[in-house]
Amino acid sequence: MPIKSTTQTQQIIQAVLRADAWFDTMRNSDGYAGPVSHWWESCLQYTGAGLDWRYEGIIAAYLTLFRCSTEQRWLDKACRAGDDLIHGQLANGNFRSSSFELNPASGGTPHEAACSLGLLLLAQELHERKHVSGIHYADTAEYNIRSYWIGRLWDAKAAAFRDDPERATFVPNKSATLVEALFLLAELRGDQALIDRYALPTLDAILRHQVCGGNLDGAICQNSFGTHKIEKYLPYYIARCIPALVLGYKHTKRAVYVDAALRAMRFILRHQYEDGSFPQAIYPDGRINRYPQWIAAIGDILRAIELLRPHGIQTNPAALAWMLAGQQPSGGFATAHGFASQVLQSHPGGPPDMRDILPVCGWSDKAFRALTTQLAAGLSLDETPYPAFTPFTTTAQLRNKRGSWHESATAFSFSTGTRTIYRWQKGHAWADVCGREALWK
Amino acid sequence: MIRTQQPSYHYSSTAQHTLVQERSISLAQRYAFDVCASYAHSAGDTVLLHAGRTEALAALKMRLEPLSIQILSTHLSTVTTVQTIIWYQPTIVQGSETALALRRVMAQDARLIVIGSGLLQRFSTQRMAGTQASLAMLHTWLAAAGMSVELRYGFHTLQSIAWGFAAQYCERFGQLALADRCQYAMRQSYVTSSPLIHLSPMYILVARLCR
Repeated sequence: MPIKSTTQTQQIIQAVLRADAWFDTMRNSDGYAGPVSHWWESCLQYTGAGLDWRYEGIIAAYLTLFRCSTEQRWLDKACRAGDDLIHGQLANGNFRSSSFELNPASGGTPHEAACSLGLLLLAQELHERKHVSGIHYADTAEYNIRSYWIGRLWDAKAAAFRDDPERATFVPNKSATLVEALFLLAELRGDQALIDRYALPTLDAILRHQVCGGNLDGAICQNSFGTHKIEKYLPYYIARCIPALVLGYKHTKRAVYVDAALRAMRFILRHQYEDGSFPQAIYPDGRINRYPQWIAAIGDILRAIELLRPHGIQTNPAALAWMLAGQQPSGGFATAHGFASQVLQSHPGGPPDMRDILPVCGWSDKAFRALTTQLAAGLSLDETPYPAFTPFTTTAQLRNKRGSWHESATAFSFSTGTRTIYRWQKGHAWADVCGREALWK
Repeated sequence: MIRTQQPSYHYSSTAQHTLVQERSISLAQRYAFDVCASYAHSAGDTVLLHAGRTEALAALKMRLEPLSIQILSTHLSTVTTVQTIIWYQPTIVQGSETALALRRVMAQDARLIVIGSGLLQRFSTQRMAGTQASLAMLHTWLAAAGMSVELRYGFHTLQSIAWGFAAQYCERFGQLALADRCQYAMRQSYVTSSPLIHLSPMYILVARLCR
């Protein structure tokens, strides 16, 4: 754990508590809800609960807060999130609305693996504290993993998990999330076969997607179709591979896994900009599509850095500062910088795109989780004044239309003059207003 | 080690429309279905679904949950008035009669959402045989039934089709960075409300009763 000044610690505590207050406003009866902006597709109309990778970060963050402070309220919130997943599990083992930017479809990857990982983290915590309720969370995760991932997505011939039951596709970062869940399930169930049969072969498949040597050394391909690798290298998604590689090393002591993780991280850090941010995508010919640059999601890069600190990777205050600067007065985190520059890739001018400042549960959870890992044990958050939700208004643009973005405890809205282009009443499963400019997948 | 004696899985009865199925429908259909769902949920009543074709309807039904859905192919006589009607892929067969029949089950503030296919449907993965109604026919039928079109969108435009081709060519020639940018340009120009919607592989019309 890095040594921090009292001021730094207080800043992080305040950021964590504000994020917690924000997440509470994003809940409806089925779970954490809200629109999604994403690199390849956004989901602005469906705004109901999404049982997707937001649950990995939310559960992990609340468990870390519980461990740091031993305050029951944090464990209660982790259990509440776990209960959302139990109640949202379908008969076939999938979770409802688990496809994030493609919600409300079920069967989302890596989202269901991330949900199971969150459930298993919760089950592990409860098991260590001798709570019997952990069994239900573990059962739900195991049913998802065995029926969906192993039952339908395991490709025995390729010895890896597919991204699509009907096509030979492999996505390293998605499989890495599942590997994390498999390690945890194996530990909880005492089933070494899960590791030998599925987790380690999948890690080996990830290694086969890593570039060795040259300028791109350490980079991991985004995906492959059969033997055809798609040579796009996305720092964020490469970082999502690192925790699984570190777990592989811890379990087997095979240096190849930790070496791969370190080379992946060095590739990411070689492409970091001075302001602490990272580019969106790097290509084999050296071209870079910088925008949109993630803000909230940088939490996953910080988490990977934290995991590699025992192996010599230094803390990265610039990345932390970049992410923290994206926290809005409401407590949610901006999603990105530069959505409006996605086509031309020129420096974004003018106000941010609405999709940039849109705080999304499935991105803000990554910042939330990373911030909680910065806190030391023995905290007493009870003594910290709890921040009230603060409404937030700023200028934004969408399709070159300038307007006013507003978030209150009960709604998101984007308006130009008297015309409302977008409005979501928190709690509703569909946006109330989605004008022509906001019809953007 | 945790051992369970008796699994206690919670099974929901929600329809299981998966990501794979969702990926199998076109982007244009996803846009159209989301617009329908927004209207239907905002009205919050029973939705009447009249479908000349039934492919891809699982994707639409998933979006309409938990609203009550009545699916009709021909008989409308048993339906009470509803707030939202979705007429999916109208065909030329009995089109004007269908518009009149649908009008009779519309509540005063109800909306009829028509999802049709335009001239460039050959650029979509989902296309119909030559029996679909044209946009002009639909306007005529709706007007004759006492309805006016308050909103219309076309999904996939000439511009977005061109950008889509550009992306494919760039990818074929190994220009992946450019291919991605063309893809974004394709998505940016995907929706139109201009008169050119009759070209779009998929369009929607939102109609209300004339006052």
